Amino acid sequence: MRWIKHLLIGTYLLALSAGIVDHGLKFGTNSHPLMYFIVWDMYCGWSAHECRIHLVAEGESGTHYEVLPPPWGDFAPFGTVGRQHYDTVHNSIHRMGLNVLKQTDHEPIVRLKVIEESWPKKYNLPEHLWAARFEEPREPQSYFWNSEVFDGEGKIINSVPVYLTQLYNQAIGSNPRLAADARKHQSFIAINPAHRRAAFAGHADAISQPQAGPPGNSN
Amino acid sequence: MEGNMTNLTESGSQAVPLPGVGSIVSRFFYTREVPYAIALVRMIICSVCMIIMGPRWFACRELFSVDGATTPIAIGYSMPNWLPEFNGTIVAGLATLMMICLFTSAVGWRTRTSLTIAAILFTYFSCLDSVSTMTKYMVISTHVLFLLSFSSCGKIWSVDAWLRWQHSTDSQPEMGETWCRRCLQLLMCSFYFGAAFTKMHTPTFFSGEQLTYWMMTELTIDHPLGYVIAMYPPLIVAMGYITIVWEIAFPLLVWRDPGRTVMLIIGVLFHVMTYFTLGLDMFPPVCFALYLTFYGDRDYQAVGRWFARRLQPALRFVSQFRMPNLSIRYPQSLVSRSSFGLFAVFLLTGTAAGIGLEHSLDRYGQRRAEGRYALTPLDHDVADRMLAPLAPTRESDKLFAFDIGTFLIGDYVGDRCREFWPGQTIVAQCSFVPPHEDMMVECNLRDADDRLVERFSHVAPREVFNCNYRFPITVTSEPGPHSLVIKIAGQEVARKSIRIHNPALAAR
Repeated sequence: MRWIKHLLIGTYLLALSAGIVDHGLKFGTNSHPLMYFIVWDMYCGWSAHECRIHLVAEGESGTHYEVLPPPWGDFAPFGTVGRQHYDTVHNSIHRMGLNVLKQTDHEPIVRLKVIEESWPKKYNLPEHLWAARFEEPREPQSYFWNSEVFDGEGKIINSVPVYLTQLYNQAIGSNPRLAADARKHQSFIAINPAHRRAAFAGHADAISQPQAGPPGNSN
Repeated sequence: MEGNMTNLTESGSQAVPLPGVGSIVSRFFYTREVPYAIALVRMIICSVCMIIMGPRWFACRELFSVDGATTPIAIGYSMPNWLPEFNGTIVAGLATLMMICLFTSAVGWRTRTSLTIAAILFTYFSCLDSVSTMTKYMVISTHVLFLLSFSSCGKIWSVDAWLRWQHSTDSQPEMGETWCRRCLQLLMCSFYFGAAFTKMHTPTFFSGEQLTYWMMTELTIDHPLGYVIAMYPPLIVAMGYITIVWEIAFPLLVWRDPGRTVMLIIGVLFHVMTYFTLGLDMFPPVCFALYLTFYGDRDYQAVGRWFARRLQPALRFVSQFRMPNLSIRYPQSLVSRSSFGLFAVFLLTGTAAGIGLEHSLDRYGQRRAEGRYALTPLDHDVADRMLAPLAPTRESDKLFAFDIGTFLIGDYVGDRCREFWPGQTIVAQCSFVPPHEDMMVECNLRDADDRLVERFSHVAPREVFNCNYRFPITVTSEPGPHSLVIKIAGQEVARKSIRIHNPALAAR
């Protein structure tokens, strides 16, 4: 029995050590889901914007419907905010939407649109703290950004960078010389719509993006 | 072998024998002790896991089954999901089974079996819902459940121990090896060390930006203190440095007192603050449970003796009342067999009841009297606003904060004030909301009649998040109310009223 314990302890400590080394050297940390169990990379991806995700369905009649939050009520996993808002990289939002379509009555749906709603986090300050910090009235404004479009069966039709990446691209694109340089490339047609994201998001790695795997709800 | 590995070292003129590596490792992992620590960990972690999974049980059909919308962890890694997925009824049964096993693990009934089932199902469900279930404290919990399922944590403070006591003549608690406690200690050390690495890889952690934005999020539970502390960035920078030093020192100093006490007290303060400032509710109890592994059986016995001394008067009072002896000693074979049979019946009936209850809850409203739910049409105005092209960012939304003081500390204004005297320098700092383009940012000093007294302009490149402007107050500065105005692209975005005092000029 002793050698089984040796093996168990040795394997376990080896796994913990591998996680530390991989994480320290930034080597293969996103290579496999099991890495999430041994790499302790909390605190990633907190941006200066608060973001909410809406899923809007467009029916054959042209009417738009609210798909998420679902009609039976949100599941709020870590507070009061619905589950869909934690899918920061939009990996699974269409699955949640398709489930709502499956469980509800509605006209035939032709489009599912992922809409990001963002606002600077300074507007999250309570009134008394806002008054202590700013002399201006508190006038929050939401910015809406349609980042993905799916057909009624969940197949992707169009995908553009998420709002934060779009802001970054705009900031870069405001440099006319750089914008001119960026146009000096060979044109191509992205066969897979999902690859259009790569064509538009060349700078995505340069900014603080949520890492692969579960979102930055590091609690 | 251990004898062969014994080394000798010179201490002055006398040779002192050192224990070999093998014997050190053996003593570290295989010393026998009463497993108080891991028994406590078992009770706390299983209770915390039940609290975490309780609300998810009601939504298990939606979160974990093919009748809902699972979000397997593999998708985030661009890999196919390798986990089996079941329909809602089976998932309701498995989720109920997990909850029951977490309960029986906490009370220590058929502890090893319960922990094994709980560990497998808890990990399975976590991996199936990466968006709203899988977090780092869930990962720590899976490690703990996995290790405990191999351990002797059920030997004390458990139903199993009570049943064994029924036919035992030995009044001493059973003992086990320390290896599980040691692995949990090392888990905690690697966790903090890894967290320190993350911070080293995140430059915006040291500038306080990451923590500031986190403190201002609404994605975690309500944490009003976070908003208040977010107003004091120098404090956040200082706390960030203290945290990383503590996280690196933890694996080195936590093994013996006084380092152990210091590290654990700082740890408790740290996690309490994460609750109040970041809204992390389940992380602290998971970590606190693991802190208990840094104490051995002698520590717990000392605490027990201390409590016994303190509680002696109360115990003496209670002992005045003659209590009937309720313990009935059954034959060992009957106890063992009935315990297993009862356990199996408990699991089966509980699971069946759970399936029935979940079915009756009708998550999707399929059996409602008024029929299935229908999608709600969006208001036209709302739909138009949502689907319109992206609006240009307002200049005021590029400004995060505008602070005024007289000195900087940690690259932030250290003393927010509005009154200034000759000899002082007004430091006006504006922080930006990233990402932003290269901007021309102007700071104007204006008098009471809004006439321009002084103006500074800076280019704020896209990688810059703070811009500072300094206005020295001299003996020639005009006294009275003034204002500082920030303009981005020529548009006023913030204004702050200040007062300049100049007794020499005021006297004239």
